[in-house]
This record gives sequence, C-alpha cells and structure tokens, in this order.
Amino acid sequence: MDFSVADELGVTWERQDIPDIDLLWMRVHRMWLGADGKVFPGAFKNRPSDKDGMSTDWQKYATPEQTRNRAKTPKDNAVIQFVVGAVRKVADQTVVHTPDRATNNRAHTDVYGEKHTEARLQLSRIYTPVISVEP
Amino acid sequence: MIEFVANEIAESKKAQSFRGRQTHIASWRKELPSRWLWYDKERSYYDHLRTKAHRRVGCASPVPVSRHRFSAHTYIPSAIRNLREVIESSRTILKLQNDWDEQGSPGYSGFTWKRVEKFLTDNALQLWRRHKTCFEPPRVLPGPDGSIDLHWRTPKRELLINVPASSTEQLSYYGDDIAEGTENAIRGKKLDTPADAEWIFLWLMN
Repeated sequence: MDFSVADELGVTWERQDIPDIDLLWMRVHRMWLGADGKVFPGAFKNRPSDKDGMSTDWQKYATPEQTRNRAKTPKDNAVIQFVVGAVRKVADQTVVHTPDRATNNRAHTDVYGEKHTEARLQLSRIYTPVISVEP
Repeated sequence: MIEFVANEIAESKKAQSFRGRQTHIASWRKELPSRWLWYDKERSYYDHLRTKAHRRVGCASPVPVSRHRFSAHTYIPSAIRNLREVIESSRTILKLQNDWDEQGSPGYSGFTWKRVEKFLTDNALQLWRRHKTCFEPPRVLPGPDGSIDLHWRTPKRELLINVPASSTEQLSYYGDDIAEGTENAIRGKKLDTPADAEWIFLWLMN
C-alpha cells in the first residue's frame, strides 16, 4: 500500500528495528554551524527536554530534503547523516524508531541517552554532511 | 655708610646663594639620567640606588631592576593575551535570544559567560605562575540549554568542557587522545577551582 493512502486511512505505524547499516538524517540550524561548516557539539541534544531523545529521520521513510523541509525555515538548515551502528557505539546512546502520527512523520527516530560531553563530542566526530546551508 | 655696605654684602650673599642653587639644580638635572638610561641593563640608575639602600639598611629588593624596563603588557605571555581576546570576542554569545535556533533553545546569561571568563582566566594565570606555560585559547561555543562549551583540539588531543547555566551544577568534561580513541579517555566533573583543573590543562598540552 502506498504510504499516502495509508496516511489517509489512518493506519497506525508500528515501531521497527533499525539495522546498524542504515542511515539517519538530522537537521541542524545554521546557528549551530561554525565558519568551517562543522557542527558544534552543542547541537547534539535531546528535545524538548533531557528525558526525550535527539530527533532524527530514518532513511527508510524519508529523504534528506524531506527532513530539511520539516524545519520552520528550511533554507536555514543543513542536513547531516549518521550511520546507525556508529551512533549505537557512542556512550549511553540507543536508537529507537518512534514514528510520529501527529506530525505525519513515519521516519521519526529518537536517539535516547544523556547527551553529556562525551556523547556530544563523539557524535560531532561521526556525522557526514549531506545538505549544507547557503552562505 | 655702614648700613649701605651691610646691604651690599647681604645682596651679594643672596645672589651667590641663588646662583649656587641654580648651579646645583642645573647639575642635578644634568646628572639625572634619562628615562631610557634608568632602564639600561648595563648601568641602571635604580640598580645604583638599590645597591646604596642595600648597603645602608642591609636589605635587597627581590626584583632585579632590569626587569622593570619591560612593561606589564610585555610580561603577559602571548597565549594569555590571545586568550583574553578570545574571551572578549565570545561576548557575542550573549546576544543570542531565546529561540535563536528556531528550535526553542534558550539564550545565554551574563552569569554563565562570567563563569567561563573566570574559569579560563584563573586557570591561565595559575598555570603561568606555576609552570610558566599557558594553554591555547579554546573555541567558546553555544552549548545545550543555555550552557557554554569550551572546545580544544590539538594535533594529539581533543577536550570538551561544559559550563552549565545553573550555578549549582558543576563543570563537566570529556577528553581523549585522538590516536587512542576512548581508551584512556578522561571524563568527569569537579573542575571549578584552578587547583582542581590544573591537571587537565597539563594533560591537554602534553
């Protein structure tokens, strides 16, 4: 069944296991980028509170462009990618598929775990830029 | 007549005394060394005075006079001067208002920035006093939830220190050797005084 048809029918989206080799897309606002285009470690945080996770999109159900277009001002956002297995190796981090009906985002995936200095520094080392922001 | 002679003598004495004073002042002015001469390493005016004082009262100034020819500015090592510049330029972080990233991040308080300034300055001075060395300035970056991150990356090591927005929370840190990865990494809290934090800067510069 086509995803859009499923949306209209109100079909619930089940959580799925995400393989280690898959990719996650993450949106990063331009204010979190340095002059060299690198992401500050502070960008890796749980939202809206520490008990929540860090929002990303699973490659299986989203493209980098779709991830960017979910921002308030898409042109002010870059998109980076993580390999799921690499994220799971970061201290105290787990990757969980959390499809979100409210925002109609089946790709939504949370990276749970405290974003302490160790986790943030390691996450800042393992991402790859996918879409950059225009200067 | 006698009165006249007495007056003449008095006038002459006055003039002599005035001339004598003038000559004395002139010679004193001549003897007074120029500013640069005072600071000359070879023949210092203050060194001379110091020696005299030493002879007279039997004490010596602990600071060699030759050091005074450098201004205080010259004595601040360049790394600390660079650090001051980086700290000053990091004030721009205070301009970030609530929701500056369109994702609800809070702005940064003057209190947190002051804590960063004090932490870096105190540690730089402590390190200079004790080891005559100073760490390179960090990148002062916006951190999560109103906290401020200090980030160092040297050819060998990387260190991230977080200064939290809340005064009751302690600074936290993580650092590792790039070649070794997480093996032998350093992580923890309690860096709030220079005595607590000295080791981490020595580690970073190692």
